[in-house]
Formats: sequence, structure tokens, C-alpha cells
Amino acid sequence: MAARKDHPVDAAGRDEGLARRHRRFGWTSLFAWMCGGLVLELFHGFKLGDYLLDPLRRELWTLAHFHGALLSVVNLVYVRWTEVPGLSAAGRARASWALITGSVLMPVGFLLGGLQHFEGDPGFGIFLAPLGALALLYPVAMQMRSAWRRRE
Amino acid sequence: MVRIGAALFGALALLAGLATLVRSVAIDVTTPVDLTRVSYATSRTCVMCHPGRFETWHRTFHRTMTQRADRSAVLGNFEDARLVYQGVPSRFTREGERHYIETLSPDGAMERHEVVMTVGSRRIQQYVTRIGGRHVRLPLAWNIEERRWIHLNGGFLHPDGSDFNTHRAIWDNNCIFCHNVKGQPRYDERTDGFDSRTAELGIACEACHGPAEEHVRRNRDPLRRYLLHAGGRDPTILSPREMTPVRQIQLCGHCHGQRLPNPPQRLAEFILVGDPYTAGEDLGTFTTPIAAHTELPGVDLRQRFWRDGTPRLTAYEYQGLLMSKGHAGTELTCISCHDMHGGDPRGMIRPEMRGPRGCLQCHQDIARDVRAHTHHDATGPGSDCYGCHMPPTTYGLLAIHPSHRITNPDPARAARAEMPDACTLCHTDRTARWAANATRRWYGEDVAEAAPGDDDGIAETVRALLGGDVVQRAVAVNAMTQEASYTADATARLWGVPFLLLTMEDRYPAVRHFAYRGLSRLVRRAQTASGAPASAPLPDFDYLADGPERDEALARCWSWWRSLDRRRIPHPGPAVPLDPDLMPIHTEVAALTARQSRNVIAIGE
Repeated sequence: MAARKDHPVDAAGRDEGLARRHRRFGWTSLFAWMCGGLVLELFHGFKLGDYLLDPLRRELWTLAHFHGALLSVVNLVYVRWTEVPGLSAAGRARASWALITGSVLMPVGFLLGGLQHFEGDPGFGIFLAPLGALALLYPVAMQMRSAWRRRE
Repeated sequence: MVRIGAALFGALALLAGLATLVRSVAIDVTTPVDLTRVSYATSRTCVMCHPGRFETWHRTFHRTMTQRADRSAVLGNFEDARLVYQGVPSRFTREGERHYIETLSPDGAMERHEVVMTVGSRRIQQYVTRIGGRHVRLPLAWNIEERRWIHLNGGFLHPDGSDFNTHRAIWDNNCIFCHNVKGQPRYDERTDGFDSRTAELGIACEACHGPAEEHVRRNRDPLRRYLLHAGGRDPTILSPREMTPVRQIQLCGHCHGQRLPNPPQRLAEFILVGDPYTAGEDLGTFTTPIAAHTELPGVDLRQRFWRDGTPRLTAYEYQGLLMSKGHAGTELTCISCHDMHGGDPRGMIRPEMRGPRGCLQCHQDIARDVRAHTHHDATGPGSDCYGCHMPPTTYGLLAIHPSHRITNPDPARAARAEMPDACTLCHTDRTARWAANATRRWYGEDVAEAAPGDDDGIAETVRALLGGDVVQRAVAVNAMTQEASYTADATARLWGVPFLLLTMEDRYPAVRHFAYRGLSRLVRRAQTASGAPASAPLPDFDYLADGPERDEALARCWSWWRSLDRRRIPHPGPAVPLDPDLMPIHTEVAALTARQSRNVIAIGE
């Protein structure tokens, strides 16, 4: 497959591509989850019973908003760490995808879990949240390993 | 290649492990559990997974049926309040969190008791103390609606002059069974005391859903929970809606249908160990419902039933439903109308089941033309299914309740059985003969019996009010003063006032209470209606005051009635023994009151 012009294949270019990916994803995701936060505020403002009177839904959607926004910021911070020397190029790419996957799965899991839930348990969508959490552990573990290596 | 192989192997191993886990949980989910061997977990654990169901139960009077006597539970006025009844000055005090009742002990001395538990929270709240090795229900209670102290003669059916301590009762071998979850009196013959235990005070989740410890333990596993969410029945807990109709009724009948141990020798098991019944079991294995013909030494159980066997006290709804016309084989159960998690906690009737539409959901042939069935205005009280088929003929604490024996109105049969009938409970100015003739004319001879031949021409409700026994009188007062009536003219109903004033002389405080409360309601409605003549306020009357004080209050009430402009109140007709000035015709009244029986009814609450 031919490489696209704006997606160079050399190592430095790939790292630049990873940084761009997290920058784009981070800002887009932050925008989306901030809009989500605005919607939650509207629910409060207009006293939407389906949200306010359903403690589990309220908790899950609050968690979705919080994790979505926080992970967006993490992605923006991660832009600085895409070129970390302690990781191989393939390792950096895997860590990048895992971070983005986790950043999507976790808040979306909370969102879907609250959309249609059981009494005392979130809906089936909640299974995305622990999968997302596992995905998020991977880049954190990789970066942690690289940090210890650099120190040595 | 090696790495791909390792990854594939890892993925397969993971899948196999997951499949084994799912399979083991799936087997667990389908394995039945013997709930009689399971321990109780209490509602505190239920709330973690069922917050909504917990909340809808938490607001009910079931929850607060029995409580520890802390300040949040105690409703009565314990700020040095006093009540004098039958010359006994009782005193109600509080010291911090502790509540005390000073009253007459059975040996004639005044004693101060610390309240340790409360029973009830809707109409009256009763108080339980600890004496020796026993919990004892004291004979004084707080009337919640009227915010006053009463002696239990004012709630139960005992006349003045009966032993002040008649209503002292041992909680450990009585109240414990129905007002709590899994009561265990644990009587100790050596000490002649009880080491009572309950799974939970009040009527909580496990009274209906069964013991839940196994359910709680197994459902800590999220995989199990989600397998059940995906579709499945959890064998570790009961859902009354999934029981057979018979088991559903028995579940409620366990408390709403007074029973005796079956066989009688099983009583020892009840007292020494505890109630053997667990939700979902066959109630008949352990107990037999009390019926009119049941023999119990020392108690005349016939008094609790009308002569045709229909229960006339509450806590017999189970028996009533079982006796209902055409009930056997139907799907009709308690939860067809009642909902333990919905509706107004007072009655716990689902909103859609209140009023005729509840019945008309199934009886659609009647729904198509209500008037043709009822011969009354389709939207008026005459077309209220409950009013005719479940008439208010059952005495409960401070209220008359609908009968749970669903029947067709048959005034002649009711008159012969000396029990109230639906027609004359509304048409309080009419005779049983009049009602019987109308019923036969409308529904045919196959449905209604012929009118009684010995009719003396007196309106049936008036006859019951003046000459009936204590339950008949209470039911008649309710009929004369309830919302539903043959007339929408509140002023026209004031003809009942002189009869209510006569009833305020009753020997039974409970009947006096009904009479004065009903009178107040009648007068209030008339005053609210336009053109009401009752402009002067009705004098106060304390149904528990001593005789001379009541006589004075009653004299003031009669003066009030004489002072009213009664010309605007139409005479109710020849069946009501009132002179043209709407004063009682004393010869006829005396003849009727001479028939009153002096029975005492042990309610068994």
C-alpha cells in the first residue's frame, strides 16, 4: 500500500505522525466530551427527570464525562511522550493505539452502561469500560518501563 | 511465527478459560436452591443491588410495622403527656433517647415502663416494653391521625368497663409472627421467658422474596449477574409474580389471613422454635386458616365472621379471597390489585387498579355498557365495582375496610344472615326488602333471593346502627358517613345526625369514635356545600372521656342539632324513624336498641 504524503514512514516521521494523531484525537475528544458536559448541565438546567432521578445513570454519565475529558487531556499530554527513546518504534505505535482505544472505550462504556441499565447494575455497554481500562494500562506500563530504563 | 503461535495459544487458552467460567456460572444459575436452609441477609444488603425496589419498600408501612423505639421511630407525644381513661392517669415521658409509659399494672399499682419497640405507624402506634423475659404490648397507643393518646379500647372492640389491661399482650408469641421477618419466639420453659429473634424487624424484603444470603453471596459475581440480566431466572431468590396464583395468595395470607398451627400440636414448634413457613412454601403444610367453624378454646371465633362465613375483621383477607365467587382456577391474586412497591402506601393499590377501571380491564363485557349492568349512572358511586362487590363491611383498626370476599349483592340473603349488604350501605334510607326487590327485578330470581318476609319497614342501616352488634354498628356508622352515598346532596344526608348522636352513647369507645368522626365529616361536607344549614360549629366530644363528661358534651351536641335550621334537610322517608322535626321517634328507637347484643370481639391483633 502506498504511503500517504502526510504520513511519512521513517521513524522520525512516524513519531511525528503519532504526535499529530494524539493532538488531533485529544482536541477532538476534549471537544466532544465538553459538549457532553454541556448536555449534562442542560439536563440539570431543564430538570430532566430521566437523568436527575436515576442515580445510577447520573453516576455513569458523570463518570463518562469525567473520564472522557480527562483522557482527552492525557492524550494531549502524551503528545510530548510519543518520541520517548526507551521504546521501540513498534512499541510506541502499539502504546499509541492502546491509549486511543482505551480513551474511547472507557468513557463510551460508562455512557452506554448508563443509557439502558439494570437495577443496581449498568447496562451491557459497561463491559467496554474494563476493556478500555486494560488498554490504558498498556501505554502507562510501557512509559513506566521506559522511564525506569532512561533513569538507568 | 513463534510469537504468532504463542499469541494464538494464549488467545485460545483465554477463550477456553472464559468458556469454562461461563459454563460453570450457567450451571449455577440453573441449579435449584432449597431456600428453607438459607439464612436471611436483611434489607441492608438488598439495597446495594436493588436501590429502586428498596426505596419503594422503604416508604411503606410494612417497613415501619415494628421498629426499635428510637426518636425517629416513635410518633407519640412523650413530652410529659397524659391520658386519663377509666380513672387511670397514664403518663408519657422522655429522657433523652429513652421513652417511658407510666400506667396501671395488672396487680393494681402504677408502673413505669421503658418503651423498647414500636408497632404500627399508619393509624395507631402501639408500644412494647420488656418485663422480665417477655416483651409486652401495653394497652395504650398513639392515634396518629388524630395526634392523641388512646386506650386500645378506642381501637379494638371492647366496651367500657372491661379490664384496663385486657389489651396487654405478649409480643414474643403473638405480634412477632406477622409484624416481622421470620419471627422466632424461642420460649424457654425453664425461665418462662422468651429469647425472641427475628430475621429483621418489620416486614422487609425477605418476608416475600425469601431468605437471601445465598442470593447475595452468589451475586457478588458480576458474570453471574450479567448472565441473569441477559435472560434467566435466579433460583436463589423468589419473585412473587413468578409463583403460581395459589402460592402468591398464600404468601400474603401468611399475615393477611389469621391461621392456627396445623396440626394443633405444631403450636409447640411455633413457640419453642419459630414460624416454620418460608416464602414460597405451601402455607397449608404448617397452618390452617381460621374460619367461622374453627374451634379454639377460650375464643369465640364465630364473632369474627358474618353468619354466612364472610370475615368481618381485617387480617382475614386471605379467607375472603378464597371464598370469593368463582375465584378458584382464576389468575386473580392479591398482587392483581395491590403492589408492594407501587401506588399509595395507604392500601398499596396500583393506581390503575383504583376505581372501576381495575375490574373492567378483564370484565370487558360489562365495560361496554356499564349502566346496563349496574342500573346506576355509569360514572357515579352506584357503578363503583368495589362498592357493590367488595362492600365496606370489615372492621379494622379505626376504619371500615372493603370485604375481600368478592360477591354479588344479595340484600335478602344478607338480611337473613344479619349482615350488611352493598345496596343499603349506600341507600341508607331504604329497607332490605326494597333492596331485595330491586335486585330481583334487575338481575332475576336466580341471582337474588326473595325479600325477607319479616321486614319491619325500618331502613336496614338504621336498624343495624341501633340494634346490631358492635361490628354492625360500626359498619352502619361508616355507611351513613362515608363519601359514597345515594345522594350527592350533602345537606340531605344530615338526617343521619340524630342517629349518630344516639350512637355516641355507645358502650364501645370504638363505635363512639366512629360516630363522632363520621358526624364531623357529614357536617363538614354540608358546611362546604352551598346552602348548608350547619353554620354553627359542632361541639367537641371526647369518646374516651369518662361518662359524665361525655354526657355533657353529648348534651351540647343535641342542643347544637336542635338549634339548626332543619327545614332545609329533607325527611328521608317512612323507613327512617324520625319525626317531621327530624328528631328520633323514641318508641321505635328503643325497640331497636333493645336488640343490641353485648358481644366482645377478640380481634387478635
